[in-house]
Amino acid sequence: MKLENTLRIERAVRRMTQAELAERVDVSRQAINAIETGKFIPSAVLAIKLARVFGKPVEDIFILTEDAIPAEVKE
Amino acid sequence: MALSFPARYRATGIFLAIAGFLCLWVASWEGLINVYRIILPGRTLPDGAYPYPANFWDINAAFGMVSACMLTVGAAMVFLAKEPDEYFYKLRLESIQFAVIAQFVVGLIAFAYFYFTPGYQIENTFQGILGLACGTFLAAYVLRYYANSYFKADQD
Repeated sequence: MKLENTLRIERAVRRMTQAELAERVDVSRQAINAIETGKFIPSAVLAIKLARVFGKPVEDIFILTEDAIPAEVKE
Repeated sequence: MALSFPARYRATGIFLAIAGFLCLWVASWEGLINVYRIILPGRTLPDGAYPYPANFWDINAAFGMVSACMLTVGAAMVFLAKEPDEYFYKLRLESIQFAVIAQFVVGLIAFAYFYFTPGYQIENTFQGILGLACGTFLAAYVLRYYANSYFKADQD
């Protein structure tokens, strides 16, 4: 399963550190780091919180890549 | 997690568990006799031998039981303490899975070693094997958890 995200880019655009973002969504800095590096897939609640910080829809921040979609769903 | 302790108990729990484990190890090997040697050096015989005092076994048994309690309470505090967020709950689950596998493998290797090495009565090795396996579980859990949460999470 591959769920990519643009958190690092969005942070860079806003010159925001991992710690600042973590504080905004009330999680640890390690959690933000793990999400950015793809080691941890956040819950729906956390994903929505993160998207709200950047003022974008969740689908713009978290992108499900093609190889993650099962063949039967594609058909 | 209504039954969880506040997160601040985790550090105390780790200290208690490690101290309890070390004390239990000392009690298992009658290491208290060395404390007697230091506190009461006058009882040493001319040939260097040190006779066990009359109350040694009672004190050693009490020391072992207190150590086992410390280990149990410490482990409970570690595993029942709340985590800061969902990432750490996932990390805890992964660490427990890793520690269980490590415990099983170490226990199996220890059992095989004692079983195939001549000179051991297998009935007398169970306590040691269980202690080794439990110690492995605790060490593997702590190492895995903290390695992932602090050393692999680079600051950006």
